[in-house]
Amino acid sequence: MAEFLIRRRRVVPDSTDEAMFDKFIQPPAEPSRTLDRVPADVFFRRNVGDGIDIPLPFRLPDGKDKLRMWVVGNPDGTRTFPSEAIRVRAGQTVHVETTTSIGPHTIHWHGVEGSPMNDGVGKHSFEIRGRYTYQFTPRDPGFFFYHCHRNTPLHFEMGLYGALIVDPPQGPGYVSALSPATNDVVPYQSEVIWVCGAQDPRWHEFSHNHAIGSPDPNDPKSFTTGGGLGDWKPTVFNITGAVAKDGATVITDPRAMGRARPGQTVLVRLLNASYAIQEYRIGADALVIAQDGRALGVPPYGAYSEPFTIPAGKPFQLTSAMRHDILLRPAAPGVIPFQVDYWDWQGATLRGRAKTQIVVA
Amino acid sequence: MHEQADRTRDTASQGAATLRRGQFLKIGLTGLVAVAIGSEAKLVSGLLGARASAAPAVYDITITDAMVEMINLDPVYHWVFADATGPHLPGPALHALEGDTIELRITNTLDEAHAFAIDGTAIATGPIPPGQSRTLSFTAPAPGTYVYLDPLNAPVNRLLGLYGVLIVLPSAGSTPYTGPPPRLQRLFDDLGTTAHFPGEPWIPERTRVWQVHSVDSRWNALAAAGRTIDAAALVADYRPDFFTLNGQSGYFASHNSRNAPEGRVGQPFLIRITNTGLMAHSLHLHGNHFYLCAVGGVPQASVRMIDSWRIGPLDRADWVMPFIRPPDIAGPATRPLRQALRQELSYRDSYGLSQCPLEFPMHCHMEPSQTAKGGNYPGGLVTHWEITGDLDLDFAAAGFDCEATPAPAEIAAAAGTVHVHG
Repeated sequence: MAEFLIRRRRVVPDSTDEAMFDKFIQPPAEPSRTLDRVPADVFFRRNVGDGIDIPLPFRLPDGKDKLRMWVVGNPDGTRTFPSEAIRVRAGQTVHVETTTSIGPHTIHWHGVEGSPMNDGVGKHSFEIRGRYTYQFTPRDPGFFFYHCHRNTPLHFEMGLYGALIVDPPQGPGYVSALSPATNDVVPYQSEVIWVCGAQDPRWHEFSHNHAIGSPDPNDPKSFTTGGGLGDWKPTVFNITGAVAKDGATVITDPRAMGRARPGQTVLVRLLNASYAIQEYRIGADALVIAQDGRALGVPPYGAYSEPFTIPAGKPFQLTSAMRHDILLRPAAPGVIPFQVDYWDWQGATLRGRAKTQIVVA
Repeated sequence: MHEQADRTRDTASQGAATLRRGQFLKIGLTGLVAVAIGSEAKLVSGLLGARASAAPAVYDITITDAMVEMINLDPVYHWVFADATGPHLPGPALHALEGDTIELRITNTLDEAHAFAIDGTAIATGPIPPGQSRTLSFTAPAPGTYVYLDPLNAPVNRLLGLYGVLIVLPSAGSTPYTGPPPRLQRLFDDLGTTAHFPGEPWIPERTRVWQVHSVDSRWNALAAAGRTIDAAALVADYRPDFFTLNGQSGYFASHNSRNAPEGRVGQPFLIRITNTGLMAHSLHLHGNHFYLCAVGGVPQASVRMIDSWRIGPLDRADWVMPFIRPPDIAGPATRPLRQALRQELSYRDSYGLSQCPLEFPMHCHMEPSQTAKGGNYPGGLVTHWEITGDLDLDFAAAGFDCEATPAPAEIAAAAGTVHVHG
């Protein structure tokens, strides 16, 4: 036995400290209305937590050929995995009226920096049990995403995420990139969204509040044990919702596979939406023009950086939530292969591989 | 013993309740303690929000063991660095100025060989047999953030708790570096002097250290039983059940002013980050994008403004959090927050807690790291930061009722030390 004991501090019962601890674990419900509300330029409705089964191109060990996912649905009935993309223009004030199937949930607008009550993180604001309208005014064009931030290890993995694209004022077809001659806006003709995900089917049996508990901070027995959310071993790998049959078969599902004509500019939006270390290979020189929704080299905030090129075929890695906006300029007909290797987060084990391509014709 | 930035008073003697009393000679608390080594101690006093003290000419560090209470109060056996004030997890944050001559005396009180080294440099004691000491004299390396650790039986000895940071500051200049690349210099020149960075320049006092770490308590239990741990076996079967930032998890890592930067708009912070665990983390900041200033100790020529960054095992990174007005708050971007968010700053939730100051999380997006014992979200690698006012005025001074953060004197009074004599 050791000579020393290093303590975790105790929380004083019935104190502000205890209230803050409790809020951290079990956030309060939403306010009755959006505070400091300003008029919206664009309006969306979303419902968090709709269940759908996605088909698998193989059978799981238990014989099933589908996987239960949770998605952010559109109340018009649209339920897709990943959840439907939200697309707005820079400078627009956005309202998203949000409800839940089985509460509580939130939506965090990853990379968009609104006020805490519109950031969708329960421990610093609230979680939605009924209805709340998020509002924000994204100023910077770029590639963002949204996801539920309740019991996040589980809810994000289950599919509660989608792309959030902020176009420059010119709209889709233009992207913010260093180009002083054109006011740092560049046209593109083909857009490919590669949101690379992975799933551990063992987790897809869990309930919304799995392993959260409502611990008394000073009672060791009140914390949950054995929840399994620290142990993630994916066996299902997808690119933008299209599940890879195996590591050799090229995905041709149009959600993943891109198309372009020779001479066109292709914009690739790349996101690691998993807990794997993702290693990519793109079969063409890739000009990285933006990272995490900020254009490299573009003043004022981007002026301390510059775009960079990843040579064709050279592997590069992103960890969870990291994003690149990439320009490709294929000159001749052919295919540009794209491969994702999913390494476990210790970096030691290759869990899986997915392949797709851009057809240039 | 050191203090930590707790918000509340408690009685340290409660800690022994979960263990048999009398087995421990001293009781410590987790958290960050800063020590100035080298010649210019006064320059680093006040850094980190931690109590900084000047070390004697030769700074004594002891390698010993301790039971450490995790977030759920599980006592987990660790190997730790201790100094004259007691055991620390992480080890004391050592501060020096570039070019300082530093003298450390490392004593190994454990039953197997240990060592002390500064990762990425040639500074190392080599193995120290049980019961022996080694004196290590060296010149402080180039300014930056360094990991010190026990490099033996890697990664076992560092994973069991033998890790800390060495921070080296430049002897001149307005950045944390000597001769930084031009765009990095320009970033620091622009903070507080340009239209897009209104407010104040960075000052060294606005620094935080985030040491991220992982614990697989099964291996710690083997060490407690006196077993020699085979490094290859550990690496092949490593399933961490706790994830820490400066030795703490979840609420205790987050609501801790030594970890959490706080300031008004226009008061930028430097964050020095290390990972001594075995997993790749992906640290995501809410509320502001950050500037990636140094990676692996290398000041960056292209300083990217991003919201997530990978910190793998033994990686290091320095960020600047610009503390700009969160850019995407609904409505006109020029309105002071006290006007734009008047209702939000006045809001109290069902716990009676105020939304003032404005709090944003920082957490790892490799989300299994947000757990403890496989659940208890958000009980892992997380902290937060706070905006306490507009450029020109604290929210409190503008009449908002903000949750108070205790002053350093209160923190010192609340933490305290208890010696339990067997």
